[in-house]
Amino acid sequence: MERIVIFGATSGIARAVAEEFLAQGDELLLVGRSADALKILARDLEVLGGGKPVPWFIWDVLDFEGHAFRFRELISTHDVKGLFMAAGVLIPQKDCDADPAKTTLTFNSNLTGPAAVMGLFAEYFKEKRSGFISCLSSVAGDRGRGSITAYAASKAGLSAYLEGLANRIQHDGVLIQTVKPGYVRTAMTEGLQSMLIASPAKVARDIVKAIRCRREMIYTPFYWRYIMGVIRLIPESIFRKLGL
Amino acid sequence: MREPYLPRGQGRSYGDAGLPALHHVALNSSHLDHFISFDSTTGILEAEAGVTLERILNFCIPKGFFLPVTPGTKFVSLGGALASNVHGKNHHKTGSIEHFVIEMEVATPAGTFVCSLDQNRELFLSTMGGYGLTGAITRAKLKLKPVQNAQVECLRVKAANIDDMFGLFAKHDPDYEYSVAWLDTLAKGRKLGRGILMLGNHAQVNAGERKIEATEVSHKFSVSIPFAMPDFLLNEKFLTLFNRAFYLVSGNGKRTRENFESYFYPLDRIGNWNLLYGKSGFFQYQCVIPDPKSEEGILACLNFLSENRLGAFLSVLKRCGDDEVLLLFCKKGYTLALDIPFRGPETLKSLDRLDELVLKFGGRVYLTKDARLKPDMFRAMYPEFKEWMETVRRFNPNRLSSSRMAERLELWNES
Repeated sequence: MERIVIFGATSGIARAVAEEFLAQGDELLLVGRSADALKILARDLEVLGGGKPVPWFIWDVLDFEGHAFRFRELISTHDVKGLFMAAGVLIPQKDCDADPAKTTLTFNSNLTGPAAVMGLFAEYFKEKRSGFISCLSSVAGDRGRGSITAYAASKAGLSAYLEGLANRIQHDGVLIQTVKPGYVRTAMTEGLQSMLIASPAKVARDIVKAIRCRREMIYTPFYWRYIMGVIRLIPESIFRKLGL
Repeated sequence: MREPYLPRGQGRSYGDAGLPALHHVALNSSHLDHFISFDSTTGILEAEAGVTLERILNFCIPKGFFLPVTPGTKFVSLGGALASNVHGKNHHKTGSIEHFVIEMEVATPAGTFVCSLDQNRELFLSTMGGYGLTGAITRAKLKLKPVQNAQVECLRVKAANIDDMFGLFAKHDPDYEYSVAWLDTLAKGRKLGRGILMLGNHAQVNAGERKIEATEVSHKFSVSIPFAMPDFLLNEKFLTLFNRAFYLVSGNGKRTRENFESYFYPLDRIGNWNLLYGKSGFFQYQCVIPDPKSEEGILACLNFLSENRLGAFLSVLKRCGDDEVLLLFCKKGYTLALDIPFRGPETLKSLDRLDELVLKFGGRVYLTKDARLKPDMFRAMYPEFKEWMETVRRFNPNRLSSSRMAERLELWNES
């Protein structure tokens, strides 16, 4: 039975994506840091899936020494056909400025950790000559951003890493997909009021559909493609004055 | 010592039942939104309290189940629905949601307990419809109702005045699981209380039809009110015309088959519908007047509303059955729910006089929707509140969980 690994499963978007995969009949393997949270989520998805068991696996994206071991353990106990990577944090920039450890944590949670994990899966799928990696990046990574400097830079690095992975193994039947969501109603955006905010369910439908259509890069909801298209064209001298 | 709090679901109460008391924080339940178990033979669903009714419906309708009782919106949490002991269009047949809760877990300031009608009965009866004052409901087991599909067979019947309407209720209620009437509270004289009785039963499957259609839980386009509407929409002439038009264009004896969403949740289709009431907003006023004075009392209320020109778009009348919880609202009789546009202090004075009228006929006002009832009036309407507060105090002796409503009604005062 081939499973889709959901990394960072308890986050808002990942949970909605898991429900969407479940609805189209896929088998899941939830990965996260907290056994308590994973158990609660697994039980919820089991009920939604009509009683079909949903296993879970503890693996922290920051556990750099353990990655190779955890990966072998996962692969030896489960057959995997895809990876959805949703690990990541948004720490307010002023906290990062006050504490350099927060900047390191931002980069490790959003870039170095996920890159290390996805590198292992990419080689595995390449050898199988099938499979997919879909990873949550962000529209924030499309420009250097003064208001969320560390977060935006980590997502920019993540997008570049995914593009590189895709360039390397796109001929081997493996899909490497970069997902760039705009504002989504999750714990990360709690309290944010915006006309543009989308529900996790809407974003999840877009992602799962894009995996089916084997698209390498998507903005979700779609209009962010055009918003970011314009934002990317703004000259630096003007962009600076916008305070974004 | 823990910080004082008030459990809060989706924040959809009209009044201050869901607002934390002074120096209390809101205990947000929106991350407590997981299913725990479901038995497809018995229809018993166990879920965390922050799950919304919408999420339950999306899950259970494709499996052939429906909520046993549902309020007029699906955007409320399960915990909030239990804390308000919500009732629906089937109250005359089934009573409120309390009758379908197998058990629930309550995190009280005095400890966490599982309660039901058999186990910790007092906690159960004081938490159900207890507005969070015994603590936070954390999970519950709800018995869902099997249905053959997601549609409702409807019948609309017109009544020329309130007597006619009472007659229609008496005639049709036994045959229909759901019944509710829309009243034109601005009509006067012989037309007083004219309206449309909307009846419904879950549709049966005809030969050759599939049992449940996947498309029945829709993600349909819905409109949204972008900003507070100008106040002239609440001008009395406009409202009178609107109500008259609504009454006149409705077909009499019309039978239709409607999707559950348009039948049970018409307002959920209009985002921010409350903005229709402009910047000054409105009060929702719902009262029940028990038999045998029920018809007489409703008539008196309608006369009062008509004389004082208080009514607006949505005035709803329906028959209630009986409930059992300690602080109950629904009693066998009629309940009347009104949207009253706020036109300044005189609106509040008129509602105080309406309270007196309701009390005179032995009636009471629904706290879930109330924002302005006075402490003395509350005590007169709910004589059993002392027994309820005794249990509340046992589980919440130091007011650790308290709401603005509890403060306004002076519930914590000993007398």
